[in-house]
Amino acid sequence: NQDSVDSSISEEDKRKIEAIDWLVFDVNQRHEALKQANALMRVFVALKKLDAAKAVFDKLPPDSVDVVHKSYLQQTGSNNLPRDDMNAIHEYLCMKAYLDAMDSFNDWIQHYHHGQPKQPEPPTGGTFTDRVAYEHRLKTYEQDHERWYQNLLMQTQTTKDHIYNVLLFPDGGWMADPSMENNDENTMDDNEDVDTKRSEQLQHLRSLTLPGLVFLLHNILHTSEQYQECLRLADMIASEQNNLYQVFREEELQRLLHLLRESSLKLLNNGKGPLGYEKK
Amino acid sequence: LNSFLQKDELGYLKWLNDIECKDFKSAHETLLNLGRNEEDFLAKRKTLLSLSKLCALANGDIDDDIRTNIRQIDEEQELILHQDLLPGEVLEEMGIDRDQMNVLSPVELIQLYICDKNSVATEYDFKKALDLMQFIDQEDSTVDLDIIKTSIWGTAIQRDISVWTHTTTGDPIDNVRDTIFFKTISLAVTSGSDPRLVLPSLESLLSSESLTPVSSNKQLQFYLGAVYEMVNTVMSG
Repeated sequence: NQDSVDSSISEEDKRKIEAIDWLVFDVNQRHEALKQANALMRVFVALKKLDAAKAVFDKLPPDSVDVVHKSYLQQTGSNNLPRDDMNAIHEYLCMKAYLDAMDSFNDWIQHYHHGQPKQPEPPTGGTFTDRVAYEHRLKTYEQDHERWYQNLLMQTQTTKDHIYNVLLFPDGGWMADPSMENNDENTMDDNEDVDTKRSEQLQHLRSLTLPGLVFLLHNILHTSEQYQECLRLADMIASEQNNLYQVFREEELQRLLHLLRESSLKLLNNGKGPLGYEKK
Repeated sequence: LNSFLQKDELGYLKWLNDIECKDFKSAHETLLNLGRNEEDFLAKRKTLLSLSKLCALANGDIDDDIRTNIRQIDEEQELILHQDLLPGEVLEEMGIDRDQMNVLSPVELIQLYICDKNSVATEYDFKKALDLMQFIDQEDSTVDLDIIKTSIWGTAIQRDISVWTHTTTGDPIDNVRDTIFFKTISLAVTSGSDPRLVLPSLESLLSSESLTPVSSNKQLQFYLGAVYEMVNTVMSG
């Protein structure tokens, strides 16, 4: 299953994660810490080792973006960070958005599958007290179910927002370096190899991760019966502004279209048009 | 009409079946037709066209016909985006519900972007109106592109009519620099168009309907003469 997540952290992974600690001590090294952590998280996410990626992320103090800006200002007197530092910050924020989205999705799954109250069995006997007890249990169940459903809707909204945050990531998109017109004097001549390799990894990560996230999003929208919004996913993916369709392989597009078809059939079953519109 | 509707209904079900049978090329064509014919809901047209594009890409074998279709879908989506971006104030004034709005023609969009109801219209709205002209069907004999062009620029002048007709001394260009008309020309230049192609001739502008009440105003004629001369000098120099 391509969506399955590897939650193991090997001894070697642990050593790599802990190495970040050494870079975090000195605030003037924070930009380097950010880059190393990014590189490590890239690999972990590609291997679907999300717990390991999260462990790396947690090694960086939450004020790191601020610290990078401040220490650069102190050292150079300039506010214009070099391009590679800007890219590292962008990548770090992309990673944060992704980890948040996956966290949120796990909460949703947890809530959906494990939090759902069980309907009580009707009594087999049929004595008066059995029936009274059953009716009482049924009433409690209905209240619990209602509470569960309301919470599910809330969790759905949060998860949905977090996934959209990744799919519609600003400044060039998720894991795509923002274009910088004014910063050209800061291109890294000596690091071009690193740069090309990094760009390839980012692109790879986009096509590895984004289609899967769209399927998760469809899953939660479809499960919470928001069928029209399911079909509107097509707008987001086909749009030339977001360029998301480019990260889908042919089979993935076919799978997506089959899922959208399922949502459309649900709309038809509910007496609506196939895209959820009434006749005017 | 009934048989037409039935065909429409069948089309709706056909693409669902095509996807099931993995005939993505056929689904792409059906959805494209449905999208082009959809007039009632802008959002529905958008989704039909998006689905059509995704079906085309899922088909794998992309021939020249499909490539042309995709390009046309992208152009359609650009026009839809222009309608999606209509200012909320204008829609409210016109009593249009954004979520339920029907498909408007390019000419209607131009009118909405520069109408009086868009009281906060800037040079960007007027530039957008000019950009929207490319979406007008050239074959349509009921639409006269020249009239639309002069009416956009005439309306731009009307926005600051008191500046254009107010008699002052000093450099004429400095006096009109802050008008929407002048700023729209600047914006056209900075976005790479040649203003001599975007502007109508001075004569047709002055004889346009939107300027009728003031077309004989000497100050306006003087200012416009200065602006046209500057445009010619700058662009040929």
